[in-house]
Amino acid sequence: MTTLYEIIKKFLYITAPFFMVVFLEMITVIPIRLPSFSMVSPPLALIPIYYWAVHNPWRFGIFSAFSCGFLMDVLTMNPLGINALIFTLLYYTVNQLRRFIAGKPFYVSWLGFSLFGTISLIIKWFLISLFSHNFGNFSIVLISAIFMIILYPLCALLCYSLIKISPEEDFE
Amino acid sequence: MQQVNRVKSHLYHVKSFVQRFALILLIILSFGFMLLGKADNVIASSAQKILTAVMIPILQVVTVPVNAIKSYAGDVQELATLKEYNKNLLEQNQELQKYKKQAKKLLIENEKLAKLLNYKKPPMVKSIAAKVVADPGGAFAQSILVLAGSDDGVSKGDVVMGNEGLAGRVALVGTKASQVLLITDVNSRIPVFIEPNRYRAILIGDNTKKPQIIALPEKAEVNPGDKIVTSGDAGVFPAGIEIGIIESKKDGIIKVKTLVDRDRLDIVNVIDFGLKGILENLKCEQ
Repeated sequence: MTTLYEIIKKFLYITAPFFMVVFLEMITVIPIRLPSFSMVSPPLALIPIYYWAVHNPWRFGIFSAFSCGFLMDVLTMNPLGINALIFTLLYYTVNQLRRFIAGKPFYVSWLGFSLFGTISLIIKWFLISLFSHNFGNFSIVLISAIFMIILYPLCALLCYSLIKISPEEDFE
Repeated sequence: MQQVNRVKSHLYHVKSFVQRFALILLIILSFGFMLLGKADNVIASSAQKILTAVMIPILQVVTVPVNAIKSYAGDVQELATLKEYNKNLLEQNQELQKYKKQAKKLLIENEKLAKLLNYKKPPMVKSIAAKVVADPGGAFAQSILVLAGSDDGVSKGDVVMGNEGLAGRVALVGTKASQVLLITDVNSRIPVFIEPNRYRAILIGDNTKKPQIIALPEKAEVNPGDKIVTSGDAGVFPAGIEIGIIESKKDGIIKVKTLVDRDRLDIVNVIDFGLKGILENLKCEQ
Protein backbone atom coordinates (compact mmCIF):
# COMPACT_ATOMS: atom_id res chain seq x y z
CA MET A 1 0.00 0.00 0.00
CA THR A 2 1.52 3.33 -1.09
CA THR A 3 1.28 6.02 1.56
CA LEU A 4 0.74 9.72 0.90
CA TYR A 5 4.26 10.39 2.16
CA GLU A 6 5.69 8.04 -0.47
CA ILE A 7 3.61 9.64 -3.22
CA ILE A 8 4.84 13.13 -2.24
CA LYS A 9 8.41 11.86 -1.97
CA LYS A 10 8.21 10.30 -5.43
CA PHE A 11 6.64 13.43 -6.87
CA LEU A 12 9.44 15.57 -5.43
CA TYR A 13 12.01 13.07 -6.68
CA ILE A 14 10.69 13.27 -10.23
CA THR A 15 10.04 17.02 -10.35
CA ALA A 16 13.06 18.35 -8.41
CA PRO A 17 15.33 18.63 -11.50
CA PHE A 18 12.61 20.55 -13.34
CA PHE A 19 12.14 22.95 -10.44
CA MET A 20 15.90 23.42 -10.17
CA VAL A 21 15.97 24.66 -13.78
CA VAL A 22 13.01 26.96 -13.04
CA PHE A 23 14.80 28.25 -9.94
CA LEU A 24 17.94 29.07 -11.94
CA GLU A 25 15.78 30.80 -14.57
CA MET A 26 14.37 32.96 -11.77
CA ILE A 27 17.86 33.74 -10.49
CA THR A 28 18.80 34.84 -14.01
CA VAL A 29 15.98 37.41 -14.19
CA ILE A 30 16.28 38.85 -10.67
CA PRO A 31 17.55 42.44 -10.84
CA ILE A 32 20.98 42.14 -9.20
CA ARG A 33 22.20 45.63 -10.17
CA LEU A 34 25.89 44.90 -10.40
CA PRO A 35 27.51 47.48 -12.69
CA SER A 36 27.14 46.37 -16.34
CA PHE A 37 26.24 42.82 -15.24
CA SER A 38 22.77 42.99 -16.78
CA MET A 39 24.36 43.19 -20.24
CA VAL A 40 26.26 39.94 -19.90
CA SER A 41 24.31 37.98 -17.29
CA PRO A 42 24.74 34.31 -18.20
CA PRO A 43 21.76 32.05 -18.97
CA LEU A 44 22.35 29.74 -16.01
CA ALA A 45 19.43 27.46 -16.90
CA LEU A 46 21.50 25.89 -19.70
CA ILE A 47 23.77 24.30 -17.07
CA PRO A 48 21.19 22.01 -15.40
CA ILE A 49 19.67 21.19 -18.81
CA TYR A 50 23.08 19.89 -19.89
CA TYR A 51 23.72 18.23 -16.53
CA TRP A 52 20.40 16.34 -16.44
CA ALA A 53 20.79 15.27 -20.07
CA VAL A 54 24.12 13.65 -19.16
CA HIS A 55 23.70 12.45 -15.59
CA ASN A 56 20.00 11.95 -14.93
CA PRO A 57 17.93 11.87 -18.14
CA TRP A 58 15.31 9.54 -16.60
CA ARG A 59 14.25 12.33 -14.21
CA PHE A 60 14.30 15.14 -16.75
CA GLY A 61 13.05 14.43 -20.25
CA ILE A 62 13.01 16.31 -23.52
CA PHE A 63 9.50 17.66 -22.80
CA SER A 64 10.76 19.15 -19.52
CA ALA A 65 13.60 20.83 -21.43
CA PHE A 66 11.10 22.26 -23.90
CA SER A 67 8.79 23.52 -21.09
CA CYS A 68 11.70 25.19 -19.28
CA GLY A 69 12.73 26.87 -22.53
CA PHE A 70 9.22 28.13 -23.12
CA LEU A 71 9.12 29.56 -19.59
CA MET A 72 12.49 31.23 -20.21
CA ASP A 73 11.06 32.83 -23.37
CA VAL A 74 8.26 34.34 -21.32
CA LEU A 75 10.51 35.55 -18.51
CA THR A 76 13.17 37.08 -20.73
CA MET A 77 10.81 38.49 -23.38
CA ASN A 78 12.68 36.66 -26.11
CA PRO A 79 10.56 35.65 -29.12
CA LEU A 80 8.40 32.72 -28.03
CA GLY A 81 9.93 29.40 -29.06
CA ILE A 82 13.59 30.47 -29.27
CA ASN A 83 14.70 29.21 -25.87
CA ALA A 84 12.33 26.26 -26.16
CA LEU A 85 14.12 25.25 -29.37
CA ILE A 86 17.60 25.85 -27.94
CA PHE A 87 16.90 23.90 -24.73
CA THR A 88 15.35 21.02 -26.69
CA LEU A 89 18.24 20.80 -29.16
CA LEU A 90 20.85 21.03 -26.40
CA TYR A 91 19.11 18.33 -24.38
CA TYR A 92 18.69 15.99 -27.34
CA THR A 93 22.26 16.40 -28.64
CA VAL A 94 23.89 15.99 -25.24
CA ASN A 95 21.63 13.05 -24.37
CA GLN A 96 22.67 11.29 -27.57
CA LEU A 97 26.35 11.81 -26.71
CA ARG A 98 26.09 11.13 -22.95
CA ARG A 99 28.08 7.89 -23.16
CA PHE A 100 31.17 9.98 -24.00
CA ILE A 101 30.67 12.28 -20.99
CA ALA A 102 28.92 10.36 -18.18
CA GLY A 103 31.26 8.61 -15.76
CA LYS A 104 34.30 10.50 -17.05
CA PRO A 105 36.38 12.99 -14.97
CA PHE A 106 34.71 16.30 -14.16
CA TYR A 107 36.80 18.30 -16.62
CA VAL A 108 35.36 16.25 -19.52
CA SER A 109 31.86 17.27 -18.47
CA TRP A 110 33.02 20.89 -18.09
CA LEU A 111 34.69 20.88 -21.50
CA GLY A 112 31.57 19.35 -23.03
CA PHE A 113 29.44 22.06 -21.53
CA SER A 114 31.84 24.77 -22.68
CA LEU A 115 31.43 23.51 -26.23
CA PHE A 116 27.68 22.81 -26.30
CA GLY A 117 26.77 25.81 -24.13
CA THR A 118 28.69 28.21 -26.35
CA ILE A 119 27.21 26.70 -29.53
CA SER A 120 23.73 27.05 -28.00
CA LEU A 121 24.31 30.74 -27.27
CA ILE A 122 25.64 31.36 -30.78
CA ILE A 123 22.59 29.67 -32.36
CA LYS A 124 20.34 31.73 -30.09
CA TRP A 125 22.14 34.93 -31.07
CA PHE A 126 21.76 34.02 -34.75
CA LEU A 127 18.05 33.23 -34.45
CA ILE A 128 17.27 36.39 -32.47
CA SER A 129 19.27 38.47 -34.94
CA LEU A 130 17.26 36.97 -37.80
CA PHE A 131 14.05 37.77 -35.95
CA SER A 132 14.92 41.39 -35.26
CA HIS A 133 16.60 41.94 -38.68
CA ASN A 134 19.57 43.33 -36.79
CA PHE A 135 22.71 41.47 -35.80
CA GLY A 136 23.28 42.37 -32.16
CA ASN A 137 26.69 42.77 -30.54
CA PHE A 138 28.45 39.40 -30.75
CA SER A 139 31.17 40.18 -28.20
CA ILE A 140 28.67 40.36 -25.32
CA VAL A 141 27.42 36.90 -26.33
CA LEU A 142 30.95 35.59 -25.91
CA ILE A 143 31.42 37.35 -22.56
CA SER A 144 28.11 35.88 -21.42
CA ALA A 145 29.32 32.43 -22.52
CA ILE A 146 32.56 32.85 -20.53
CA PHE A 147 30.59 33.77 -17.38
CA MET A 148 28.36 30.75 -17.95
CA ILE A 149 31.35 28.41 -18.32
CA ILE A 150 32.98 29.83 -15.17
CA LEU A 151 29.78 29.26 -13.19
CA TYR A 152 29.36 25.67 -14.44
CA PRO A 153 31.11 23.97 -11.48
CA LEU A 154 28.91 25.81 -8.96
CA CYS A 155 25.64 24.90 -10.69
CA ALA A 156 26.87 21.36 -11.38
CA LEU A 157 27.58 21.02 -7.65
CA LEU A 158 23.97 22.06 -6.93
CA CYS A 159 22.69 19.40 -9.37
CA TYR A 160 25.05 16.79 -7.89
CA SER A 161 23.82 17.65 -4.38
CA LEU A 162 20.23 17.16 -5.53
CA ILE A 163 21.09 13.67 -6.82
CA LYS A 164 22.81 12.87 -3.52
CA ILE A 165 19.84 14.11 -1.46
CA SER A 166 17.39 11.87 -3.31
CA PRO A 167 19.26 8.73 -4.39
CA GLU A 168 17.63 6.46 -6.93
CA GLU A 169 17.69 3.35 -4.71
CA ASP A 170 14.92 4.88 -2.61
CA PHE A 171 12.54 4.54 -5.52
CA GLU A 172 13.47 1.22 -7.02
CA MET B 1 -7.92 -7.71 -16.22
CA GLN B 2 -7.41 -8.46 -19.90
CA GLN B 3 -8.87 -5.06 -20.76
CA VAL B 4 -6.48 -3.30 -18.34
CA ASN B 5 -3.53 -5.07 -19.93
CA ARG B 6 -4.77 -4.06 -23.38
CA VAL B 7 -5.03 -0.39 -22.26
CA LYS B 8 -1.54 -0.57 -20.71
CA SER B 9 -0.09 -2.02 -23.89
CA HIS B 10 -1.85 0.62 -25.96
CA LEU B 11 -0.48 3.38 -23.69
CA TYR B 12 3.02 1.91 -23.97
CA HIS B 13 2.78 2.05 -27.78
CA VAL B 14 1.55 5.64 -27.69
CA LYS B 15 4.40 6.59 -25.31
CA SER B 16 7.10 5.01 -27.46
CA PHE B 17 5.60 6.61 -30.58
CA VAL B 18 5.60 10.06 -28.93
CA GLN B 19 9.17 9.62 -27.65
CA ARG B 20 10.35 8.61 -31.10
CA PHE B 21 8.90 11.68 -32.69
CA ALA B 22 9.30 14.02 -29.70
CA LEU B 23 12.25 15.91 -31.13
CA ILE B 24 10.56 16.58 -34.47
CA LEU B 25 7.33 17.47 -32.72
CA LEU B 26 9.02 19.92 -30.34
CA ILE B 27 11.07 21.54 -33.11
CA ILE B 28 7.88 22.08 -35.12
CA LEU B 29 6.16 23.45 -31.99
CA SER B 30 9.05 25.85 -31.34
CA PHE B 31 8.97 27.22 -34.88
CA GLY B 32 5.18 27.40 -34.61
CA PHE B 33 5.48 29.58 -31.50
CA MET B 34 8.09 31.74 -33.23
CA LEU B 35 5.77 32.33 -36.19
CA LEU B 36 2.81 33.03 -33.90
CA GLY B 37 4.88 35.53 -31.92
CA LYS B 38 6.20 37.16 -35.08
CA ALA B 39 2.65 37.71 -36.30
CA ASP B 40 1.89 39.41 -32.94
CA ASN B 41 -0.82 36.85 -32.55
CA VAL B 42 -3.40 37.20 -29.77
CA ILE B 43 -2.77 33.60 -28.65
CA ALA B 44 0.97 34.18 -28.23
CA SER B 45 0.58 37.41 -26.26
CA SER B 46 -2.20 35.89 -24.12
CA ALA B 47 0.04 32.93 -23.28
CA GLN B 48 2.81 35.35 -22.31
CA LYS B 49 0.43 37.40 -20.16
CA ILE B 50 -0.93 34.37 -18.31
CA LEU B 51 2.50 32.86 -17.63
CA THR B 52 3.88 36.23 -16.52
CA ALA B 53 0.97 36.65 -14.11
CA VAL B 54 1.68 33.20 -12.66
CA MET B 55 5.39 33.92 -12.28
CA ILE B 56 5.04 37.35 -10.63
CA PRO B 57 4.28 36.16 -7.06
CA ILE B 58 7.07 33.57 -7.28
CA LEU B 59 9.51 36.20 -8.55
CA GLN B 60 8.55 38.51 -5.71
CA VAL B 61 9.36 35.78 -3.18
CA VAL B 62 12.69 34.95 -4.86
CA THR B 63 13.75 38.62 -4.91
CA VAL B 64 13.22 39.06 -1.14
CA PRO B 65 16.64 37.70 -0.01
CA VAL B 66 18.44 39.49 -2.87
CA ASN B 67 16.78 42.78 -1.95
CA ALA B 68 17.61 42.25 1.72
CA ILE B 69 21.31 41.71 0.93
CA LYS B 70 21.31 44.73 -1.38
CA SER B 71 19.64 46.84 1.29
CA TYR B 72 22.22 45.88 3.98
CA ALA B 73 25.10 46.50 1.57
CA GLY B 74 23.58 49.88 0.68
CA ASP B 75 23.20 50.81 4.36
CA VAL B 76 26.86 50.03 5.06
CA GLN B 77 27.95 52.08 2.02
CA GLU B 78 25.73 54.99 3.10
CA LEU B 79 27.18 55.01 6.61
CA ALA B 80 30.67 55.37 5.20
CA THR B 81 29.72 58.40 3.12
CA LEU B 82 27.12 59.93 5.44
CA LYS B 83 29.10 63.03 6.39
CA GLU B 84 29.97 63.95 2.82
CA TYR B 85 26.43 63.14 1.67
CA ASN B 86 24.97 65.45 4.30
CA LYS B 87 27.29 68.29 3.29
CA ASN B 88 26.26 67.89 -0.38
CA LEU B 89 22.60 67.90 0.56
CA LEU B 90 22.96 71.15 2.52
CA GLU B 91 24.67 72.81 -0.46
CA GLN B 92 22.00 71.52 -2.84
CA ASN B 93 19.28 72.72 -0.49
CA GLN B 94 20.69 76.26 -0.41
CA GLU B 95 20.84 76.33 -4.21
CA LEU B 96 17.33 74.93 -4.56
CA GLN B 97 15.92 77.58 -2.22
CA LYS B 98 17.12 80.23 -4.69
CA TYR B 99 15.44 78.38 -7.60
CA LYS B 100 12.24 77.95 -5.57
CA LYS B 101 11.84 81.72 -5.25
CA GLN B 102 12.50 82.18 -8.98
CA ALA B 103 10.06 79.37 -9.87
CA LYS B 104 7.29 80.95 -7.79
CA LYS B 105 7.74 84.27 -9.60
CA LEU B 106 7.76 82.56 -13.01
CA LEU B 107 4.68 80.50 -12.18
CA ILE B 108 2.67 83.60 -11.33
CA GLU B 109 3.92 85.34 -14.48
CA ASN B 110 3.11 82.28 -16.59
CA GLU B 111 -0.43 82.07 -15.26
CA LYS B 112 -1.04 85.74 -16.02
CA LEU B 113 0.29 85.40 -19.59
CA ALA B 114 -1.70 82.21 -20.21
CA LYS B 115 -4.85 84.02 -19.08
CA LEU B 116 -4.12 86.98 -21.37
CA LEU B 117 -3.56 84.72 -24.41
CA ASN B 118 -6.46 82.41 -23.55
CA TYR B 119 -4.00 79.48 -23.77
CA LYS B 120 -5.46 75.99 -23.66
CA LYS B 121 -3.35 73.74 -21.42
CA PRO B 122 -2.46 70.23 -22.63
CA PRO B 123 -4.22 67.37 -20.80
CA MET B 124 -2.64 66.19 -17.57
CA VAL B 125 -0.43 63.16 -18.01
CA LYS B 126 -1.19 60.08 -15.96
CA SER B 127 1.83 58.68 -14.15
CA ILE B 128 2.28 55.47 -12.12
CA ALA B 129 5.39 54.57 -10.15
CA ALA B 130 6.20 50.89 -10.54
CA LYS B 131 8.80 48.60 -9.01
CA VAL B 132 11.10 46.56 -11.25
CA VAL B 133 10.66 42.89 -10.32
CA ALA B 134 12.61 41.18 -13.08
CA ASP B 135 15.53 42.20 -15.21
CA PRO B 136 16.44 39.35 -17.57
CA GLY B 137 19.37 41.26 -19.04
CA GLY B 138 21.76 39.13 -21.02
CA ALA B 139 23.02 39.52 -24.53
CA PHE B 140 19.70 38.82 -26.23
CA ALA B 141 16.99 41.11 -24.91
CA GLN B 142 16.93 44.33 -22.98
CA SER B 143 13.65 44.35 -21.11
CA ILE B 144 12.34 44.61 -17.58
CA LEU B 145 9.22 43.45 -15.82
CA VAL B 146 7.45 46.08 -13.69
CA LEU B 147 4.82 45.59 -11.05
CA ALA B 148 1.96 47.60 -12.62
CA GLY B 149 -0.54 46.30 -15.12
CA SER B 150 -3.90 46.98 -16.69
CA ASP B 151 -5.52 46.95 -13.21
CA ASP B 152 -3.40 50.02 -12.41
CA GLY B 153 -4.24 51.75 -15.68
CA VAL B 154 -1.14 50.80 -17.67
CA SER B 155 -1.62 50.25 -21.39
CA LYS B 156 0.56 49.13 -24.29
CA GLY B 157 2.81 51.89 -25.59
CA ASP B 158 2.95 53.89 -22.34
CA VAL B 159 6.22 55.74 -21.88
CA VAL B 160 8.55 54.48 -19.13
CA MET B 161 10.88 56.94 -17.46
CA GLY B 162 13.78 56.31 -15.10
CA ASN B 163 14.96 58.93 -12.63
CA GLU B 164 16.82 60.99 -15.19
CA GLY B 165 15.43 60.22 -18.64
CA LEU B 166 13.62 57.90 -21.02
CA ALA B 167 13.92 54.20 -20.16
CA GLY B 168 11.61 52.57 -22.72
CA ARG B 169 8.01 51.77 -23.47
CA VAL B 170 5.46 49.21 -22.34
CA ALA B 171 5.44 46.31 -24.78
CA LEU B 172 3.13 43.82 -23.07
CA VAL B 173 0.51 44.44 -20.41
CA GLY B 174 -0.75 41.87 -17.94
CA THR B 175 -3.28 42.50 -15.21
CA LYS B 176 -0.71 42.94 -12.43
CA ALA B 177 2.56 43.42 -14.33
CA SER B 178 3.91 44.77 -17.61
CA GLN B 179 6.95 44.10 -19.73
CA VAL B 180 8.97 47.12 -20.76
CA LEU B 181 11.13 47.21 -23.88
CA LEU B 182 14.19 49.28 -23.00
CA ILE B 183 15.70 51.82 -25.38
CA THR B 184 18.84 49.67 -25.50
CA ASP B 185 16.99 46.64 -26.91
CA VAL B 186 17.84 45.59 -30.44
CA ASN B 187 14.17 46.03 -31.42
CA SER B 188 13.98 49.62 -30.18
CA ARG B 189 13.78 52.42 -32.79
CA ILE B 190 13.15 55.98 -31.58
CA PRO B 191 12.94 59.10 -33.77
CA VAL B 192 15.11 61.76 -32.11
CA PHE B 193 16.44 65.29 -32.42
CA ILE B 194 20.12 65.99 -31.86
CA GLU B 195 20.51 69.30 -30.10
CA PRO B 196 21.51 72.10 -30.55
CA ASN B 197 20.97 71.95 -34.36
CA ARG B 198 17.89 69.74 -34.07
CA TYR B 199 19.03 67.18 -36.66
CA ARG B 200 16.50 64.42 -37.11
CA ALA B 201 17.81 60.86 -36.65
CA ILE B 202 16.87 57.44 -35.33
CA LEU B 203 18.18 55.97 -32.09
CA ILE B 204 18.55 52.19 -32.33
CA GLY B 205 19.40 49.73 -29.59
CA ASP B 206 22.02 47.02 -30.07
CA ASN B 207 21.63 45.19 -26.74
CA THR B 208 24.62 47.04 -25.32
CA LYS B 209 24.55 49.84 -22.75
CA LYS B 210 25.09 52.43 -25.48
CA PRO B 211 22.56 52.65 -28.32
CA GLN B 212 23.52 54.07 -31.73
CA ILE B 213 22.37 56.95 -33.89
CA ILE B 214 21.47 56.17 -37.51
CA ALA B 215 19.73 57.92 -40.43
CA LEU B 216 21.45 61.22 -39.72
CA PRO B 217 21.33 63.79 -42.57
CA GLU B 218 24.46 63.58 -44.75
CA LYS B 219 25.95 66.97 -43.92
CA ALA B 220 24.96 66.94 -40.26
CA GLU B 221 27.74 67.73 -37.85
CA VAL B 222 27.39 66.21 -34.42
CA ASN B 223 29.86 66.19 -31.57
CA PRO B 224 30.34 64.33 -28.32
CA GLY B 225 28.24 66.01 -25.64
CA ASP B 226 25.34 66.89 -27.97
CA LYS B 227 22.00 66.24 -26.30
CA ILE B 228 19.55 63.63 -27.66
CA VAL B 229 15.81 64.17 -27.17
CA THR B 230 12.74 62.47 -28.63
CA SER B 231 11.39 64.18 -31.74
CA GLY B 232 7.79 63.06 -31.32
CA ASP B 233 7.64 61.70 -34.89
CA ALA B 234 5.36 58.68 -35.29
CA GLY B 235 3.59 59.66 -32.10
CA VAL B 236 4.89 56.86 -29.90
CA PHE B 237 6.92 59.18 -27.67
CA PRO B 238 6.09 62.84 -27.04
CA ALA B 239 8.65 65.38 -28.25
CA GLY B 240 11.35 66.67 -25.95
CA ILE B 241 11.97 63.78 -23.59
CA GLU B 242 15.66 63.66 -22.75
CA ILE B 243 17.43 60.43 -23.66
CA GLY B 244 21.15 61.08 -23.29
CA ILE B 245 24.19 62.64 -24.89
CA ILE B 246 26.48 61.62 -27.74
CA GLU B 247 29.43 59.86 -26.18
CA SER B 248 31.61 58.99 -29.14
CA LYS B 249 31.80 59.20 -32.91
CA LYS B 250 34.11 56.66 -34.49
CA ASP B 251 34.16 55.23 -38.05
CA GLY B 252 30.68 56.60 -38.68
CA ILE B 253 29.26 54.89 -35.60
CA ILE B 254 27.72 57.34 -33.16
CA LYS B 255 27.28 55.95 -29.66
CA VAL B 256 24.92 57.48 -27.10
CA LYS B 257 25.33 57.53 -23.35
CA THR B 258 21.83 57.21 -21.91
CA LEU B 259 20.73 59.27 -18.92
CA VAL B 260 19.05 56.24 -17.43
CA ASP B 261 21.44 53.94 -15.63
CA ARG B 262 20.17 50.41 -16.21
CA ASP B 263 22.03 49.15 -13.15
CA ARG B 264 20.12 51.51 -10.85
CA LEU B 265 16.66 51.05 -12.34
CA ASP B 266 14.71 50.03 -9.23
CA ILE B 267 11.55 52.09 -9.62
CA VAL B 268 10.24 53.57 -12.87
CA ASN B 269 7.45 55.94 -13.84
CA VAL B 270 4.94 54.60 -16.34
CA ILE B 271 3.39 57.59 -18.06
CA ASP B 272 0.36 57.78 -20.33
CA PHE B 273 0.78 60.91 -22.48
CA GLY B 274 -2.47 60.11 -24.27
CA LEU B 275 -0.75 59.87 -27.63
CA LYS B 276 -2.42 58.22 -30.56
CA GLY B 277 0.64 56.95 -32.35
CA ILE B 278 1.66 54.04 -34.50
CA LEU B 279 0.89 51.53 -31.75
CA GLU B 280 -2.71 52.74 -31.51
CA ASN B 281 -3.12 52.53 -35.29
CA LEU B 282 -1.76 49.00 -35.26
CA LYS B 283 -4.23 48.07 -32.54
CA CYS B 284 -7.09 49.48 -34.65
CA GLU B 285 -5.91 47.57 -37.74
CA GLN B 286 -5.95 44.33 -35.75
